[in-house]
Amino acid sequence: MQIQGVKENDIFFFSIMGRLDTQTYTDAEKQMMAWIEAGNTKMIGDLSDLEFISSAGLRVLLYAAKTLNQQGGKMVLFGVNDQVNEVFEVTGISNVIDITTSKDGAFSLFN
Amino acid sequence: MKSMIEFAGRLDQVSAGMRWIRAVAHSAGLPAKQVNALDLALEEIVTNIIKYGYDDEAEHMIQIDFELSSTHAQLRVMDDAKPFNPLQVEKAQTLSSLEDVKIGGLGILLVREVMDVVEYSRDGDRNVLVMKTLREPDE
Repeated sequence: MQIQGVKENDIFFFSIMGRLDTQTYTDAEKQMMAWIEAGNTKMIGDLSDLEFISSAGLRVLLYAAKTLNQQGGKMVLFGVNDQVNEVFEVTGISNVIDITTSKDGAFSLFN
Repeated sequence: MKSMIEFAGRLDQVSAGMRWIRAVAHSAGLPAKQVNALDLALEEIVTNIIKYGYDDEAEHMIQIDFELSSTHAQLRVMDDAKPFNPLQVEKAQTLSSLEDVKIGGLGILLVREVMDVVEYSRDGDRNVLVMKTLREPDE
């Protein structure tokens, strides 16, 4: 798993690559929470290279989205593959986090 | 086709199990959707056993076997953790609002949704969980 991020104007873009599972979620969570604690409130996540997610990985995204929400911010995700999409659908994460098909689509939700 | 693996019930051993199931499911010729379903179900179950199943500090082993038949692919997970029937867990609700998010129970929900058949039995001091994903007729 790799995670990286960059701020462009007032939006923070991040991407998570590889497997987000029991083995890797703590690293991802630390990084996500560090970005949020640094004051980022508008976050867009690129999941195009996220190959696989389990419930441990879901928790990272849900916890980050919930924290942002409580601070008046928001997280939008885009680029989910079939496996990630199935996990999102089954658990209902797509009911509580905005998911778009493209970066532009995600961006438009902040304007 | 059959294959099996055994590893210690520790979180640092889980990735060996995940590599094994992906390799075995691939060589069985299963489509990506089923490889992913087996991978996911196994990770959720094994993680659950390790995090919640042991009451002591002793070394425990987890045994897993895979079997491919003409109708389905099957994983059987055997552990000596305390009795736990995932089918008796109240089914987690799908998420409806971020503020109400309860972080527990999603793993077991996923197992029950991505697998076609899940059967539990207790055999002596062992939990035995059988999970099946049915094959499409034209595979």
